[in-house]
Amino acid sequence: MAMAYERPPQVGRILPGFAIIGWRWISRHPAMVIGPVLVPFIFLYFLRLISPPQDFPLQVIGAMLFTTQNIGSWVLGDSATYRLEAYLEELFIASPVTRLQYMIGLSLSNLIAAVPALVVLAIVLALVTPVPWYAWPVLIAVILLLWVLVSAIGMAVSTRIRSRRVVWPVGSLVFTVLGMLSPLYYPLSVLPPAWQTVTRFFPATYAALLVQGTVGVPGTVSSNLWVDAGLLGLFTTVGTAVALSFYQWRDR
Amino acid sequence: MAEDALWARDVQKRYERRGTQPVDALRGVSLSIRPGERVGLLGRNGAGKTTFLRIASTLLWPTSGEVRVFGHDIVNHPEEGRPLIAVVPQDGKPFMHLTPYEQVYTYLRTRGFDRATSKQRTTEVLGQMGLTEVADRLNLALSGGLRQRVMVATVIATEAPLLFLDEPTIGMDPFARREVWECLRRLSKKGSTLLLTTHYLDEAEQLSDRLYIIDRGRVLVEGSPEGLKAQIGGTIRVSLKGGMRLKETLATFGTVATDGLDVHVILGPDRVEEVLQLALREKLSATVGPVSLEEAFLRVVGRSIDDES
Amino acid sequence: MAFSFVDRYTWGYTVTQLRVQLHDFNVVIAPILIQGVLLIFVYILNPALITYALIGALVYSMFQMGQRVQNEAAYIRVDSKLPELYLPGPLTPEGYFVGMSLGILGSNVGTFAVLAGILEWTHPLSALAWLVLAAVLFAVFLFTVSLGYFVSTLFEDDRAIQPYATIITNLFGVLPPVFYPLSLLPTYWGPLALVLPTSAAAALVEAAEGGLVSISSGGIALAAISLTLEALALFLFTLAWARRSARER
Ligand SMILES: Nc1ncnc2c1ncn2[C@@H]1O[C@H](COP(=O)(O)OP(=O)(O)O)[C@@H](O)[C@H]1O
Ligand SMILES: [Mg+2]
Repeated sequence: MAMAYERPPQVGRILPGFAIIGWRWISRHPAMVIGPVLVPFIFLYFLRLISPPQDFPLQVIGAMLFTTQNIGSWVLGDSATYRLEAYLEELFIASPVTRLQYMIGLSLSNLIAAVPALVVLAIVLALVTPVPWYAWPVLIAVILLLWVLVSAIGMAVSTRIRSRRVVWPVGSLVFTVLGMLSPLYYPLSVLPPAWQTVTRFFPATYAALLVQGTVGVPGTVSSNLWVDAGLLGLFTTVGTAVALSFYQWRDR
Repeated sequence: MAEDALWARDVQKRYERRGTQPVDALRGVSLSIRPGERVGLLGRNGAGKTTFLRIASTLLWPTSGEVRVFGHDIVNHPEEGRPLIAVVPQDGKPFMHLTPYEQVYTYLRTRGFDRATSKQRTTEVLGQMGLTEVADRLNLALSGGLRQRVMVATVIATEAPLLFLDEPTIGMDPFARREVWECLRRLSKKGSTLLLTTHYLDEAEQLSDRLYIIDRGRVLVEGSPEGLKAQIGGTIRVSLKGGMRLKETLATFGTVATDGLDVHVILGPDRVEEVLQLALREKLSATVGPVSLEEAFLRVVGRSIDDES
Repeated sequence: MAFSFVDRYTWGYTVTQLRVQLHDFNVVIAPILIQGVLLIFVYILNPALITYALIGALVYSMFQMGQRVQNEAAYIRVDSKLPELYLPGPLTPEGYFVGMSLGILGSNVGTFAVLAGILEWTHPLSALAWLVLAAVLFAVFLFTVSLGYFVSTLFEDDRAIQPYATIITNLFGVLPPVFYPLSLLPTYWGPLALVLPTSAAAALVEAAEGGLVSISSGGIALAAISLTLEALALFLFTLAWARRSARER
C-alpha cells in the first residue's frame, strides 16, 4: 500500500489554477485594475508639476517600475490574508505545492492586475520619447526580474506579520521606501554623491538605470549597462534566495 | 510501522512566545493509523487535537518526536509527505472572490490535476456534497455552514491517500453532516485514510473505526467506539429518576453517576433485571438504554481530571 | 441631541481602540517613516518646496487617519464581527464610529508631533498660522474619518477595499496641491483645489502664514467655507449613516 504512494500521485501544471484565482480577483473587483492604471498617472501629473519637464520620459519608466514594485505589496497582502484569516495557505502547504510554486502562483495572480497599467504606460512612453526596438525586450526582462524579487520580499515580510492590522502600514512602508528612495522618478545625478552610493544597495536602482540607459532618456548617468544588468540579476537571485529563506512554510 | 499511513512517536509541542508563559500543548503523543483506517481524535477544548493535526500535516514544527506519513519522515522531509496528504484546517474559509466550483477546480489544478480530471471531480464532489445549486454563487454570499462544506469538498476532491479533517462538520445542519459522512465513507472505501477531530460524538461513532481520546496533551485511551464504551464498566445504562437515596445500594450493581437527584447505573446486561425490580419496589421511574459514546467520553476524561486534582 | 454620541461608552471604546492600535509598534512607527520618505522624495525633486511639503505632510497624515478608520472598521466588522459584540449593548453606533476614530487618531499623535517639530525647526510659523493649522486639521479629521467609515460599510469583503483606498488617497493627497503650492497648478484648476478639503486646508495654512501663497480674499473665503461645510456635512451624514448601517437590511 505504502509503495503505491512513493511518488506524488499527481503531476502536471500548477500555474493555471493560480491564474484563475488572479483573473477572478480582478474580473470581480474592477477597481483592482482601475487603481493601478489611475494611480501612476495621478503621480505623474504631480511630478510634472514639481520637477523639470525634461525628466518626464524618465518618470514614465519610473512609473512602470514602481507599478511592478507594488505587486510586492499586493502579494504581501494576499499572503497575509490567506494565512491569517482564511487558513487557505494550509491547504497549499499540506499538498504537493512547494513554497516556491505558491509564491510564483500568488505573484502571477497579482501580476495580472498590474498588466493593464503597464501596457498603458508603455504606450505613453512610446509617445513621449523615441524607444529603440531593442529596449522593449530589456524593459520586459527588467520588469519580470523586479517582479520576482518584490514578490519574494512581499512573501517574506508577510511571514513576520501576526495581525492583518499591520499589513497596510508595514506593506506601504517597505514599498514606499524601496520606490521613493531609488532613482525611479528622478535622475540619479541629482542626488549628492554619498547618497548615490546608498541607492546602489536598492535593486530598483539597477532596474531604473538599465532601462533608462537602454531607452536613452535624458538625464541618465552614463555607466556600463552590462554591469547594471549583471548587478540586477545578482540582486534578484540573492534577494529572492534570502527572502525565501525568511518565508516560513511551517509554523514554529 | 513502515506500512502505517500515519505513525507518530512521542510527539511533544511547547508553544513559546515572548512575554507569555510557555504552553505544553502536547506532552508525548504516540499513535499509528493503518492505510484505509478512519480514526477519530477526541478531547476537550484545548486538549491538543489541532496542534497534533497541524504537526502531522506538516503545518507546524513539533518540539520533539517523530512523525511518519506512509513511511516518510515528515518532520525533517515534509516535501516527501505533502503530495500524499490534504487538510481541512480548523476555521478555514474559501477564497471569497471565487465560486464553489472555481474554488474546488482551481485547488485541483494547483495540485497538478489535468483539466479534464479536475472538471469531472469538481462536478462530482459538488454533487455529492449538495453544493450543485450554489456552485456558481460567490463564496462570499454563502452561509457559514455552506462555506465549510465548500472547504470540505475542496479537500475531499483531491482523494489524497491521507486526509486530515479538523472539526470538518462544524456549523453544518444534520442533513449536511450526513452528506459529509457519506462522502468520507465513500472516500475511505476507495482507500484513503482519514484522521478527524470532532466534538460531535455521534459523528465520531459513525465515522471512526478507532478513536483516540486525548486530554492535556496526552493520549488517555485508544480503541474502537465499542471498546471504549466497554471500558467504562458496562454497555447498558439504567437511569432512575430521583434515585439519589438508593445510591449506595445501586453502587453494588455497577458504576454509578449522579445528576441532581437522578442516578445513572452503568452495568452489564445480566443484572439489568434486578435494578429494574428494585426501581419498581421503590416506585421510581426508570429508563434503560445502551451506553453512549458521550457517556464513555465524559467518564474517561472526567476520571483523568479527578486523577490530576 | 447635540453631542449625545459622546458618552462614557464612547470614551471606553476610544480607549479600547487605542490599546488595540498601540499593541503593535509597527502601527505607530510606520506612518512616521512613510511621511519621512515622502518628504525626502519631494526634497530631492525640488528643495524649494519643503515648507509646503511639511504642511502638506501634516494634512496628508490627517487624511490618512480616515483611511486607517476605513481599514480598521472593515476588518473588525468582516473578520471579527466586533460590531455584533458591541452594538447590542450600551455603546451607540455613533459612539462606535467616533470612538474608533479618536482611538486611531490617538495612536498617531507621534506622527503629528514629529512633523510639527520639523516644521517649527525649519520654518517657524506665526501663532495665527499654527491656530489655523490646528483648526483645518480638525476639519480634515472630521471629513476623512467620516468618509472612511462610510466607505468601510459598503464592502462585504474587506480585502476588496484596498484598491479603492489607494485611489482615494491619491485623489485627495497626491493630485491636488497638498504637497506643492497652489501656484504650480494651472489657474483654471485653482477654484477646484480650493474646494477640495485637503488642498483647501493646506492653502488656508499657507495663506495664514503669509508669503507662502497669494490667494485672493475670495479664494480664502471659498476654501474656509467649503472645508467647514464639507467636514460638518459629511460628519453629520456619517453619524446618521452609522446608526442606519448598524442594522443590516
Ligand atoms: N499558536 C499558539 N500559541 C500558544 N499556545 C497555543 C497556540 N495554539 C494552541 N495553543 C495552546 O495549546 C493548547 C492546545 O490547543 P489546540 O491544539 O488548539 O487544542 P484543541 O484543538 O484540542 O482544542 C491550548 O492550551 C492552546 O491554548
Ligand atoms: Mg482545535
